[in-house]
Amino acid sequence: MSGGLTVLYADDEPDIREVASIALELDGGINLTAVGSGQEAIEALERPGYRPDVIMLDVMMPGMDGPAALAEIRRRPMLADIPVVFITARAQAHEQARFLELGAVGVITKPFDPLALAGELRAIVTRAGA
Amino acid sequence: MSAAFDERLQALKQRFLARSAGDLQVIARALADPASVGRDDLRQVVHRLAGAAGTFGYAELSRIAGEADDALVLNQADVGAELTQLVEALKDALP
Repeated sequence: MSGGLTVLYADDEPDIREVASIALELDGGINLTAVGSGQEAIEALERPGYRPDVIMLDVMMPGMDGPAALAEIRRRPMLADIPVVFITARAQAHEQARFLELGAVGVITKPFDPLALAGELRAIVTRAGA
Repeated sequence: MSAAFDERLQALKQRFLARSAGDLQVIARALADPASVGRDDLRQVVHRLAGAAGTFGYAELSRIAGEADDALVLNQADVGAELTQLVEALKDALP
């Protein structure tokens, strides 16, 4: 996919959230909404008319973490089919497998190369057939 | 990479380093008195370093933090050694 992509991204780490945001902005075709928690991601998804093409969730966040946010999303019929990508630091192989079992379509590992992030996300979305 | 992107990345890197100085204090305190820092709080700090350091160009620091993160998750007996190594790596990275 090389066209426009609407992305909702939740990460509690402001430094990483900003790096990812400016990296995705570089892509030119990504319309990004970045929030600081799983709860804020759910609130963004409840805004009338807002439906991202893909949701990118940090796994380890205080309060509602990535897996809990994914479960919340899957409980909402209008949102359940939106692909979710987890982003996490050094997930071990068994953890990555667990994330996919939970319903994520892909896992992006931190640290990421800011210049490659948009391409990595697009590749996952394309593979997922979204 | 555009100059504007590079400039913004450098500003974020400086902020990361400032936060990491605080992280160093937390980890050193945990080593000196393990009861003084909650396990979850410590893992949050170490996990953040593992994820962020490499993105800001500190690949070795990220690797060491990742190993300490794994040791914390798996509750390994040598977590103290991993954290000591992380403290040294942080000291090397910080200006």
